[in-house]
Amino acid sequence: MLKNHEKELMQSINLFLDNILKINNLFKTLLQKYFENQFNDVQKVTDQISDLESECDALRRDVERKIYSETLIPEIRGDVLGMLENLDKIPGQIQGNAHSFNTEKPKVNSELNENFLKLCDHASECISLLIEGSRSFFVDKKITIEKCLEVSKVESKADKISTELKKTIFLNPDHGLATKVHLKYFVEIMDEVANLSEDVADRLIISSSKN
Amino acid sequence: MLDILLIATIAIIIGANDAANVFGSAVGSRMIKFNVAIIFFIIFIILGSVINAQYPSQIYANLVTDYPDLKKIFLIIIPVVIVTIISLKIKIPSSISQSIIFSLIGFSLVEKLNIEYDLFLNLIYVWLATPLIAFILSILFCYLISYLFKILKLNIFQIDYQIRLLLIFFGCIAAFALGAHLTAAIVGVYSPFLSLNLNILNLNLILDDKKLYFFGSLLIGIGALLFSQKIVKTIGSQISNIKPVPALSILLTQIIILFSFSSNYVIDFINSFFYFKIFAMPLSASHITFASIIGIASFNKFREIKPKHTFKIIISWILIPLSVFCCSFLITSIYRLL
Repeated sequence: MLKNHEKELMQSINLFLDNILKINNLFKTLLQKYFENQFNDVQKVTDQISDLESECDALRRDVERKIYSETLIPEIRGDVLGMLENLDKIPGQIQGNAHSFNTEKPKVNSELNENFLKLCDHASECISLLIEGSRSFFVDKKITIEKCLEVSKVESKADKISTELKKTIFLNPDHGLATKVHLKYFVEIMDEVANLSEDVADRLIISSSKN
Repeated sequence: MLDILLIATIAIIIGANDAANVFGSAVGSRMIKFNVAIIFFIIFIILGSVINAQYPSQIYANLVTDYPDLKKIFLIIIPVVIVTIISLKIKIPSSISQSIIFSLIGFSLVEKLNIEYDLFLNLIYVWLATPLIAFILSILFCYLISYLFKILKLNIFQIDYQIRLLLIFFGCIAAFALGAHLTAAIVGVYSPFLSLNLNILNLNLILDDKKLYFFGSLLIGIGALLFSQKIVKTIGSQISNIKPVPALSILLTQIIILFSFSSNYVIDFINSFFYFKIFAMPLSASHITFASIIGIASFNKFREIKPKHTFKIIISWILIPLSVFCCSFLITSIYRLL
């Protein structure tokens, strides 16, 4: 009559969040391999990211279905489902970025490498903070708010790096407009990860304050 | 036979409404199936009435010392049935226990029976005090339950599970506590006539107090079984739309107040601590629930409360007993003239 789904649900949610962190770390590896021109490894990492992204989708659907079918947490069901769906956009974006690097193979000058990696680090920090905040949402919402507020600060740093990168790209006289626009696109899709994290964090702050 | 019909009508109305108040939240959020909730409700309402209804039922005999004749009791019940049906039509919760007492007073005045006015005054004080106590207790319990969940550092799924279990557990205890009051309100008026030899449809039935309370509570259970699901779906329980923690605190408030005025053990325990003495009496569960809801609403500065509807209900607390009193006075006077 009354089954306790707590353990299996928390396991699935933690696995979902762990997978996002794994994808996050894998993308950094992918970028390093890319700059080292190890394209075979880039392919392998892209495949790993794709597998984890699919696993994330399956876990999210499973958790959502269980919460709805068992009518659990009626008060904050919408907030939890919203959080999971928004979080799931991040691995999707990273997977897209990985595929773009793998298939389009942009010509990145070595002088840009450092800033590209910095941008990746900031986006990665945003995700790590967001995941910490998301984990706390189930236990202590004060911590969630603290962590999510930090996401905004790190996202601003990512914005600065992305602006700097775009300036450097367009100031380079050796590249044609097509290359410049292509590189700008890569800066934007990498910055989009930080932007997405900020959006999810903002929603989480509202949900945490409401509850 | 007329008495049984009237009692059955009130019992079914009460059962339909009060099951929703006890298990509305648990059923509304699908924490427990309606059929299971009703089985729990029937079991605990019968247990509560058989064990404790005798205590609040004593109030009727104490209130009118030269108690009316059994053949005239229907004159006390009819005004209650009329006013209860009207109040249901205009969707206002009414208190059967208060209605019966006011009807008894109206009847006794016409019949020139001895009324214990001091006791009646004490009853009114308690009726005025219980909504205030419910208001304060519900706030207190809401803080306490929230604080407990906070210090236990449970995750939201663990809290959800604990709340589900507690809603069912408290629902059963509330049904037990409610059983004494509801049955006392409905059939308590007959309690001075115990060990009756009734001849119904050529069947000789010996009715003692336990059988009386059992049948009364069974009728309440039947009312819940037949009509409460419809009420939850159409009108909606007063507490079914309330969040789980406030719903728990409302149930706990109901339990504490109802037990304090029905169980002799609890009454003796309370009286050993306080200067004033309390006694068993049938209380209005709907008033307690309503006051608790207002208490819970105070957390949000009463934003979720509809002022017009709230005012209407509070006014009805005065108008309904007065209407029953007038109706009873009138019907008994007409009956005497006939």
